[in-house]
Amino acid sequence: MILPNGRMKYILILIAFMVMGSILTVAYLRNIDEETEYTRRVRHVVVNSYELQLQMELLQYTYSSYVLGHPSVSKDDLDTAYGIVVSKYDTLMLGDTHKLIHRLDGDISGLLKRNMDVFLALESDISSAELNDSRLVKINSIIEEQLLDDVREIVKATRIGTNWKSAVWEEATKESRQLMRVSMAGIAAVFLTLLSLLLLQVRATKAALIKAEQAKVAKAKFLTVAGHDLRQPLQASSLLLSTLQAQSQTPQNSRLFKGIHNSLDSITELLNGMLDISRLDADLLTVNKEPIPVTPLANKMLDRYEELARNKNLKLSLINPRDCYIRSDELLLERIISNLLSNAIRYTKKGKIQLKVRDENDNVSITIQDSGPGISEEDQKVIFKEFIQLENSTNDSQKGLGLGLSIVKRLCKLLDHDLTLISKVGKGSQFILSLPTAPAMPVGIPNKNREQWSLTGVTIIVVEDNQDILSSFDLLLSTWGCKVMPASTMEEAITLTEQLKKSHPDNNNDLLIISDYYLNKDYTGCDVIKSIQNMMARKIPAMVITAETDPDRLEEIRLTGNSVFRKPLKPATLRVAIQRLLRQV
Amino acid sequence: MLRVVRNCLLFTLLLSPIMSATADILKAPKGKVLLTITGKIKHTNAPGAAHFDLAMLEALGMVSFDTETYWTNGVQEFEGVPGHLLMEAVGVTEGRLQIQGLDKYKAKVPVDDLINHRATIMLKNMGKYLTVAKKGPLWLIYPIDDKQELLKKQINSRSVWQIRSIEVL
Repeated sequence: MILPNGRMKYILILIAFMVMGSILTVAYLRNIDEETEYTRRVRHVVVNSYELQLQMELLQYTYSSYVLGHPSVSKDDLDTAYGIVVSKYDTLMLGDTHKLIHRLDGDISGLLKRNMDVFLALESDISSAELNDSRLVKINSIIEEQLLDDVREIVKATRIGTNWKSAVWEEATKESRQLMRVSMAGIAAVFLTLLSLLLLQVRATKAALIKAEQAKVAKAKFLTVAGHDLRQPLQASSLLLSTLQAQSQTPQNSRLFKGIHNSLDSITELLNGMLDISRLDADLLTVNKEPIPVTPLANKMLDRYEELARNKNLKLSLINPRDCYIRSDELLLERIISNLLSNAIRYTKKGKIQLKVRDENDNVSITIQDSGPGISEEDQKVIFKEFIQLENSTNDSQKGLGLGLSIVKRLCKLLDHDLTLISKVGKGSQFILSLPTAPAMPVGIPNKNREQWSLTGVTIIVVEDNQDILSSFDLLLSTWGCKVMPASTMEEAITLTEQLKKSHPDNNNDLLIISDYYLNKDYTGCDVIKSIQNMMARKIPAMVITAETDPDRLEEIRLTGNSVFRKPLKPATLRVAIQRLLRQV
Repeated sequence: MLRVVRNCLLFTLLLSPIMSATADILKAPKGKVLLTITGKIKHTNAPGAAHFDLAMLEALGMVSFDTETYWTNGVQEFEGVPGHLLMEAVGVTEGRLQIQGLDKYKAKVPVDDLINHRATIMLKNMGKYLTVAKKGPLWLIYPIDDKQELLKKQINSRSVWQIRSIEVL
């Protein structure tokens, strides 16, 4: 709807508006002039009508005085008085004045004419007036009864303003009023045009915004689906690689294994970053705040990055003096801390990385401190922007998209958590997250000591419809000494459970279920877990593994009472998770 | 709106030297006094006043022109004494005049109107002397034409008819 010459349009409207405005101003000024002129002319008529009456009365007085012999009135005075009255008639009957009177209702003009004729007929009598003139009574009564009565009538007619209004005002101010009407209509038209243009523009902008928003959501949805599909083979290759490594690692190929692992980790990280940013862009992330115990979260983070740190010969340590609860969204907070930790590990060449939890009254601060190169003040201003990477020259496999800190910042904003950065070049960096505390929940706090439990002899039912992943699970878990019972459908799982029940009628512990979430259109991993638990008549620890990233969906799964893990799951994480689940029982 | 034919008629060339002679000392009027000028005037012919009869006025020099007025119908020929000549006769160059008519109408008129805007004291209309009935004997008229610089409303209120006296303020 928006034409390319949009600006031209507005300039034209402005010009039209100014033209109309000046026409209106001119018309208004002209109207004032016309009104003034009209008033002046009408006043002229009214004043002269009064004058006629006054001079007529004066003439009557002068005539009577002269005839009766008043010493101070001469014949000259009488002639002058008569002449003045004639001139008053003239004034009303000629020129501009007559044009006005002519239009008055009730034939005032005719009345005036007849009146004047009667008066002019008196001329010879008055000019030949003499002392003790016998015509005094006659002339007096003509003036009194015929002339003055009519003159008073004329005065009355001209004095009334409304008479003039319809007769003269409309015509006198016609042009200017017409011009004013036209210009006002013009201004209204310009306004309407402007208004409709603005409305059109607003609508177009809105439509464009909606379209852009839809495109964003579509992109995020596409990426989510694509991410889901990408995670499956990634998970499989990660598990297969670990198994292969366990079976055939030699000092010669260990570096190769390490390299492949790193590459897979990088792909996972890149995928997660990309998905996060697209979901943030599309406002698809829902925040689900709840009280979270800090200690398990911190341990989990440590578990996740311990191996990575160890590979770079960095010391990753946790300082967590006491257990406390915070109010946040666990999944999103994990993403924040993960990003900060992986960044710290990525950019620190030697030394240590600390994850510090400090409890201060209403706040818990989680600090990620590294002994890396530090960030200059200038760089501190830009690092939270997307696709910004410092030290761009390094080209190692650890390199990310540069989305990490941007995601962190946006997630912090979404969660309403303060993030502070303290850093000096050469002295490392500290990212400090400030989180609100939450009341403790009556749940047994897991032991902080992370002992390495043996998994030997643990029976694990693995339900997974993807054969590649299923076999890689089988291989990996077997290398850890677990007894694996693989199933790809609900039926298989039930059969296996029945076998298990027969072979172990005492129903002893060390049994675990790992299930994929999306198995079949009729049932999910949660349904399978529930069936098995019902059959065994006890709550067997279970974990659901899914490539799902939608927080709502994940929350839904979590509400079934099962632990949820996102694909791809690294072997180390899987191992720790299994240990925890078994220990908690 | 108007076409004015303006033809100056000096009554006779012979009168000119007499006129300049009377500029210093005004002669006393012989006939009926038509106009009395009082106030800040340099030349007088009575205590504090200058009286003019018809002959004295005509002797100042007459012009005639055709013009419309707001009080007459159509174009009219008028003949009279240019205002500046009358002012010269009483030695007035600036200030304001208060002009009064027989009917006691009064108007203030700048001397400038008479000197620079061609305001003329008319004596005749269509060749006849103005009578009281025809707004005479003296009527101050401004020619209405395209050279006119005054507004209609100014001309309107200043065009005094039946002039009897002028006071120079």
